[in-house]
Amino acid sequence: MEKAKKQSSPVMGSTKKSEREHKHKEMIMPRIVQIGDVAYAQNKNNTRIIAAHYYDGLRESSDEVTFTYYGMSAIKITTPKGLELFFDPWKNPCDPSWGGIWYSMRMPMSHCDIGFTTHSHFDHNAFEMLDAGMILKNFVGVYNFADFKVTGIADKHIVETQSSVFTQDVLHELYPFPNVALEDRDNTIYLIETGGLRIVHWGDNRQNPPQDVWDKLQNIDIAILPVSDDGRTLTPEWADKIAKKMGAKVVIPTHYYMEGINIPNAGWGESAEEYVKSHSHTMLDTHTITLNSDKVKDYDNHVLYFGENVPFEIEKVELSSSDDVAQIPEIKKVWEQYK
Amino acid sequence: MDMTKLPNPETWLVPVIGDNSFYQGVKNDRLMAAQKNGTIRKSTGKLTVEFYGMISYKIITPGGVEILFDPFRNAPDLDLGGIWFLSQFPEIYADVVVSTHAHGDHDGMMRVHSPMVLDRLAGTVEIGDAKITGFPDKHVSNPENEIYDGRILEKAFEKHNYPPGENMEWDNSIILVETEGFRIVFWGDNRQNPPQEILDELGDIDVFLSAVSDDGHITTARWGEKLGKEVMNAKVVFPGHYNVEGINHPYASGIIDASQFTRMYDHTFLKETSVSFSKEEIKDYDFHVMYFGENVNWNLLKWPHKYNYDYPMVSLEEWPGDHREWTVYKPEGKEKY
Repeated sequence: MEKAKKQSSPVMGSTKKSEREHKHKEMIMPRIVQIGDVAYAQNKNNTRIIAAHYYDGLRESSDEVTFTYYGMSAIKITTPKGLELFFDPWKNPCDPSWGGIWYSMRMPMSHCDIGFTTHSHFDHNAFEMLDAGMILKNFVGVYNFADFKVTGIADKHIVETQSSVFTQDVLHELYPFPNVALEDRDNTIYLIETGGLRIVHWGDNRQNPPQDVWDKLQNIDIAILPVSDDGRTLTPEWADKIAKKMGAKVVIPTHYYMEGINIPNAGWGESAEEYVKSHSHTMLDTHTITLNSDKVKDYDNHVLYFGENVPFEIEKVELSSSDDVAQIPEIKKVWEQYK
Repeated sequence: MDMTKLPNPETWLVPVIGDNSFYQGVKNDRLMAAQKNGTIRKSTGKLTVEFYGMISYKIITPGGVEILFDPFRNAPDLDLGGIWFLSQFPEIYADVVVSTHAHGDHDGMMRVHSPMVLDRLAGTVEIGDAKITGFPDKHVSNPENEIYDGRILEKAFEKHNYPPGENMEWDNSIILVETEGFRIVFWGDNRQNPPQEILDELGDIDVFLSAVSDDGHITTARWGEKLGKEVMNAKVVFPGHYNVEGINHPYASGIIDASQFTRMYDHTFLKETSVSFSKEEIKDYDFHVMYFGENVNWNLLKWPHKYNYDYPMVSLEEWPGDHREWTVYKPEGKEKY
């Protein structure tokens, strides 16, 4: 037998040193207890996928593409023939010591046909919260199915945001875990072509991908960019540059602070309102919008802002300032049932 | 040794549900190369097939794209059929992991260090010199073997396991990979009778990575021949989903090996853990079975050892000896404090 590579011990609590530590000397990685994929727990089946395989869709074409915003970078794109593509579901980290608790709620289990993640950060990779027919994780290549084409373009995560708030020092304090500053983290930019629209989901990609990536990202109709006023991922300046470089007709900001979803000061400050207002814009009062090439053809860097509209209930907890002290309940004599 | 000074391990334990590639330090650099240059290396003209146990095969395209199918794991709920595996799937690298369906013996993606996963694929993915097509269909529900029929399986799993109305576990995608003229089919646990439309699209193939074992847990020898020889005209067949000592629990699912099936046809009992061939080398083959047997491409610990090792007998006094570590606390000049 060929000499096999040495494996780290699979036994929990083993004193055998993990191989990971040797590869990344500067970082301390946890031992992980892997639970992995949980799709077996889904009650639905692949009937919609099979139908789309045989019929190239699930309904007559509506000639429109529907966008539904789920907070953070999570967005569901419904193709004209009814296929639901979900990008970047979010969750709190499995290990809160890495970046803390970011969200005061959990993204509800959401149905889609195909789930995509751009990279393996927890604010983008919660595919276990998708009730999905299939999952394409950090997908690279060209994907054709039914009435859409998705090109996964492999690149790297943003490292230096050039934000005045989230400087390298601040990020290092906030996130002591091996973050992008210490090594290249991957990211996939998705180019979705459906219903005559060319849509880009940026993920958390760096601002300066190589030229061959830009070559693929030309004549874009809709750019979904992680831009917020504090420049947590993309600063407004960089969002403008990127949108211009892609010739984006419409920009949809994501990855911004939203009261009730994001915990304040957990690495989050501001929404994207200032950015939106400084451009030709539409403030949406709904979480869902339908677009087609006719509707967007006259726009140039027009910003469509979902604001705080998401298709699920957000609980905003108001801390009580009342002076009344609540009564402690009386002691229940639970032992008396055994008398 | 002062036990209070013993340092704790440098790491801590984290349970991870779903994606764990953040913790694996995986990089997509090879995929970036494939995206930029079309291949990862200069074409060798040969297809490489490696076996990793259960039904997990890795194929390496001539251009160097590593595609791993169906890594296994023990399902997180013991209710889902109990412990099936005595070993964890090795933490290997692959450029792409493809999983056919959501059963523990096929969806251990979290063990593999891979920058990209295609889970239950339908549709066509092109990456490097590989074109991967998923055909969504259904899991086998009645294998028609001599040990159990579908009704027993349904009772064992306590789940409705055939359409209509079955859950995600009982779906399956058949995977077709096309690369430099090779057509490779990975069957997963698909039913024996997919719709004719799918069989038409699969057409004639070169390599059939099947789920045939002698007990016919998923695909019986009879169905394996029908599908591989009569329907798809496969040139080379690899059995899969069979028992490997040290990997499969002997009492889980009752699977055995596939050596009888192998002997029924032209065959090669492979002595290596990996095999490479060009289109030219297999052009005259007709349903030639290549059987890896227990030769998995990783360092599998079999316990107790199947083969005798030349260990000298060491006495207990000599090794490990009688180290009374606790005597450092012994009171001076008396028996007890």
